Amino acid sequence: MTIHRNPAVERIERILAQVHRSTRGEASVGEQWPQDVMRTIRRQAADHPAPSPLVWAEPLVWRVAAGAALVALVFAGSVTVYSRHHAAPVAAAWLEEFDGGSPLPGQ
Amino acid sequence: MGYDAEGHAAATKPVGFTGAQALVSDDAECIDRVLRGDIERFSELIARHQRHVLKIVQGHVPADRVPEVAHDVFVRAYTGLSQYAGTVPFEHWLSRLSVRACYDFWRAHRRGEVPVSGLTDDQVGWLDRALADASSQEFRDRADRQDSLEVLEWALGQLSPEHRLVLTLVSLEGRSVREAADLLGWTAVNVKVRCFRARQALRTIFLREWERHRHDHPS
Repeated sequence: MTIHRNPAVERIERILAQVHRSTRGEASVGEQWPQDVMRTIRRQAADHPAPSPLVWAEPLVWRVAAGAALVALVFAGSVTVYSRHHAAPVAAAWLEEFDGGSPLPGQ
Repeated sequence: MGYDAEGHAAATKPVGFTGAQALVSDDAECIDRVLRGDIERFSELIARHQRHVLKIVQGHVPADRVPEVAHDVFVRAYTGLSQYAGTVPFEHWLSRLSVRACYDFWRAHRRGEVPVSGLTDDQVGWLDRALADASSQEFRDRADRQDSLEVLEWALGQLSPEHRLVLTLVSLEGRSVREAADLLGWTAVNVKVRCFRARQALRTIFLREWERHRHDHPS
């Protein structure tokens, strides 16, 4: 739907805009109003316990978790690559670590 | 919402900042303390920002509903306080909440309620004179302020909540498209498009009503 420019209607818009601005006085509420708001907020707080004091740590945990996952991935990748290239020394190191002890007497 | 209308009606004396509400800490400290469980500190935020919130709300909802909607804004601010990232001033964040609350008010208000009543004879007379007068200044000087307000309210009442909000912000309050986009959480292009459509809708409403009345009362 297209309405062609109509100077008379545009004039009405301007007048109504002026009326709107001129009627915007200083808003006021009663003395009781802030207390009413606080009463509702206390009720909300009672219904839903206050957020943890460590609320600031929550986004931090997720950011750190992403970083830690990346570091773990890089470490695992590098270990895999290293063990492929140096299979014998790695196997020897493991054997030495777990099977290096002397056999039990009598075996 | 737990707005106490009786309590509000009983107290009519306006208040702003008072000495008793010495605002010694800044917003960030207050918010931090509230988030740590000291909810009474939220009253400082109310005292500091209530005028700002009331001013915004007053531009969008009827005067008798302003305290109720502003009440809702602060309750939303409290419940969403942990989501306030601090990247924008707290007052600015409250402005967005205020506009959003006004939008929700009109959505709830219009639900199941389609305004069908037309303008009264006096209001059509106003429209008639406004459309006919060559000089807007001349008309403005003679126009009945009450009629003007009623025509404005009637016309806005015909619009959808989205159109009403964007038209009020941009055309009536004179805010920039960028500012309106920021308050509404829309893109600037979206604001421009909706504002254009809202103005088109408003013009259609005026002309249709005027022509309908002329048709019903040819004299």
